[in-house]
Amino acid sequence: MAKGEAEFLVAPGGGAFEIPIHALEVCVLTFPEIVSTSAIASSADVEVKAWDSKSLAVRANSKAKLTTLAVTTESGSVRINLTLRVVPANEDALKLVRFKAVTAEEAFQARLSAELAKRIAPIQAELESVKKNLDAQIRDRADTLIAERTLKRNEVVSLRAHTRNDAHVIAHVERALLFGDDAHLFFEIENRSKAPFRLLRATVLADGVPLSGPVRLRSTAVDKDPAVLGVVAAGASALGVVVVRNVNTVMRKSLTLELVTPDGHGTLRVTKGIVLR
Amino acid sequence: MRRAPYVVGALVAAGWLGRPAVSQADRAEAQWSARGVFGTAQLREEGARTPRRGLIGGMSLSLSYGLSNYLDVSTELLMISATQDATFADTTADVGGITLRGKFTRGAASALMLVGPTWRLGVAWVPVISLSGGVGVRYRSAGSFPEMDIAPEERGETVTLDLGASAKVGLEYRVNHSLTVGAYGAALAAWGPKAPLLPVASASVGLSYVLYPLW
Repeated sequence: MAKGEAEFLVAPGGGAFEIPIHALEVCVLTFPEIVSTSAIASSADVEVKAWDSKSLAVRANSKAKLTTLAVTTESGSVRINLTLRVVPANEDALKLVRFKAVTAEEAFQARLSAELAKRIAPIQAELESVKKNLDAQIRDRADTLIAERTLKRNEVVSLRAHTRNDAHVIAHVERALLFGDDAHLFFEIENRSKAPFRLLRATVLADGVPLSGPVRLRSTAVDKDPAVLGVVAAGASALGVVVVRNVNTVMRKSLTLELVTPDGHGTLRVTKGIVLR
Repeated sequence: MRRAPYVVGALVAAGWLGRPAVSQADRAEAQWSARGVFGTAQLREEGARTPRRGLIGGMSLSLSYGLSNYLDVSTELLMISATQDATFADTTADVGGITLRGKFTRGAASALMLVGPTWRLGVAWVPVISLSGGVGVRYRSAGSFPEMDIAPEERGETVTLDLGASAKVGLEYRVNHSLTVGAYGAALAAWGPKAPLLPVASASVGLSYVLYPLW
């Protein structure tokens, strides 16, 4: 609906509506039936004229502020009492108002919808605001967490752990970062085979017990299977990292890194050389 | 025999030019290798007019480590020996102020510790090119003039310093993550201040155990 237009639903018993108008401007009121000529205005500051058989034109003079106008159609099925409120020029006002006769149920639904929209509006506005700030809040929280962990512990551990499978895919584990209470174990998958290497899961184990945290692989290709963490194309290398939670419990223990493929063939197990000190 | 160094040189050049655009080898891997060596050597003797060609056999034990994805550094203990004493047809030797002349028989062997780079240019099938040099010892048995049944003390059994340089090309096949088999061709020149030049052309086959060391 264009700006300056409105549609009001009129229940069988009639209705009362408020219409904002500008002084010295014409506002047209249209009805579904022929309008009775006996419209009654509470003030002479508003001029009321028949536009055609189903429409009235109203125009407030410069003195007008608030005027009520009672209108009915000739059949009597539409009875309304309008409050014409003159608003300043910088506020929105209506230029065309349509009145539509509806059943009581339709009128109720319309009122309900309007009321709901009115009540939901502030919630929606707040939600939009939260959405807009969510990324920033998440970033702030992450940065705060990182800062706290950095202060607690921030040490790089050099490692020399490697393994290779029979398909010429090699896993290198040469660095870990002790970060707060956790450790980030970095690995590189060097795929020297002629087929892509698909990584389903990366798990760090201590004494056979998994210490799995989040895993990321800087994939060189994409896989259709969403369960696959990433794909290392043939002839390419990719870096990955796995988070070891509560690393203090496994310090100075020999850890195993399992890089598991979807079918299990070619799974890489780095069983030696991963000791965090 | 003199063509052997040129052949090996040509193979080295061909291997280098034909290497893959992306070098692929085995960074951080260590490779223990044992090879059986056989070939021919040009045996020389002081006072002999012409050298003799003889068969040699031996073995090699080596350890290499992948410095990068295309370059290993290797150390090799190479032991070769003439399969039988060489007989030099016309040899002169001063024995107690007397010059003897005739057929002269003597055996030779060398053990060298060689160090050098190895370029590894593949993944499953791995062409390899090695250059190495090092030191060792040359053993020569006591020589004799068999026709005169004289074994001059001046040509007695000796163990002397030996220097060696070698070029080797080969092709290895990676059987699995820890086992490699290979065949190689090599040219070796050994020489010492008290030992004559010993050029050797050899072929060898070997087996390697590959691992990621924790050092």
